[in-house]
Amino acid sequence: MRRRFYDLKIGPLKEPGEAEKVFMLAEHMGYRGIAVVVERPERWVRDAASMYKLELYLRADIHAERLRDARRKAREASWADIVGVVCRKRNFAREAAKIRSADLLSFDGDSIGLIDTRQANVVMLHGKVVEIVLRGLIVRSKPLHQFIERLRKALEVGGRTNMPIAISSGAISHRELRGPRDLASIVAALGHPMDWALNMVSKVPESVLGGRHEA
Amino acid sequence: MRPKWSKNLRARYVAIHIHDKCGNPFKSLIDTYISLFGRFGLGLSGLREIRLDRSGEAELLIVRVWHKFLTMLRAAVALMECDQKPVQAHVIAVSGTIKALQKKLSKGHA
Repeated sequence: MRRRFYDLKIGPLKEPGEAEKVFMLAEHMGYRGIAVVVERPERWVRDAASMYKLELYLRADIHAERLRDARRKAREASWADIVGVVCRKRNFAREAAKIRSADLLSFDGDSIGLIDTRQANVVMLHGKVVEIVLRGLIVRSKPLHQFIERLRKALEVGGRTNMPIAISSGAISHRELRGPRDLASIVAALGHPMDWALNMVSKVPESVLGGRHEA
Repeated sequence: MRPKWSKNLRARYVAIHIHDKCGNPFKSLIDTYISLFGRFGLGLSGLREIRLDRSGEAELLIVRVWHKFLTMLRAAVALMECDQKPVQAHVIAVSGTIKALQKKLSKGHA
């Protein structure tokens, strides 16, 4: 059976013109579906996507410092198809897994270094998915070797503990979007099996969208 | 006469779609490959330019690489840079012969 590819984090997109370019390119690159980060249920995003053969999901990202605030924001984002919690601090990342209405814990840039065995145990205990956003690597926001080192450690933990990991481009414009197999190849180039890497852009995101989290 | 080790090497022809303007895409790809896997890795990969097609809106670069290094090439394509700026590029087709690759491309763009 052919794999279906998903990118769970695109945006926030500023204008309809940019959104259309992203949707066109995502379809061209072979994505079955994408999740677009929005602050409120936007009608124009759905309208822009309706012309393309692409499943569109609206995603709400929760930025908070305390668990109480994150829970409140997650409850308010009940309109979203996917709720992601952006983790920037270690203590918060540990506790964020307890938020019931959150689907995944999102790590990007420096925060990828927060993924360790203890984090993996907490995530698996609460049936969540860890998302690694590769935007920092694509746009080179940090020196390449620093990002790769963090990514290698996080993936090593994921491979050892069987933690479900999804990878996404985190593109905020059509220029930052990358193909699913190309994203998976970054993981495979670090010495992991290609099949496992491809699951990160197909089966794991699919399980998030289906509401069931599989390892 | 081919050396014995070369019998294990199978070629893969890769078509890369480059969406952004880039003076010399193959050189940019080589530079990215070196920054990721080093000169030694580049030497082993057998990376070679076959053709560059600038006729359309986006450039189409066809390269050859040994099949064991296809994953590395894809990673380099995803992280490709031109003049220190990220370039949007993606692999559209991979094949074992140029003829089959052209067949795939003509099917895909029909």
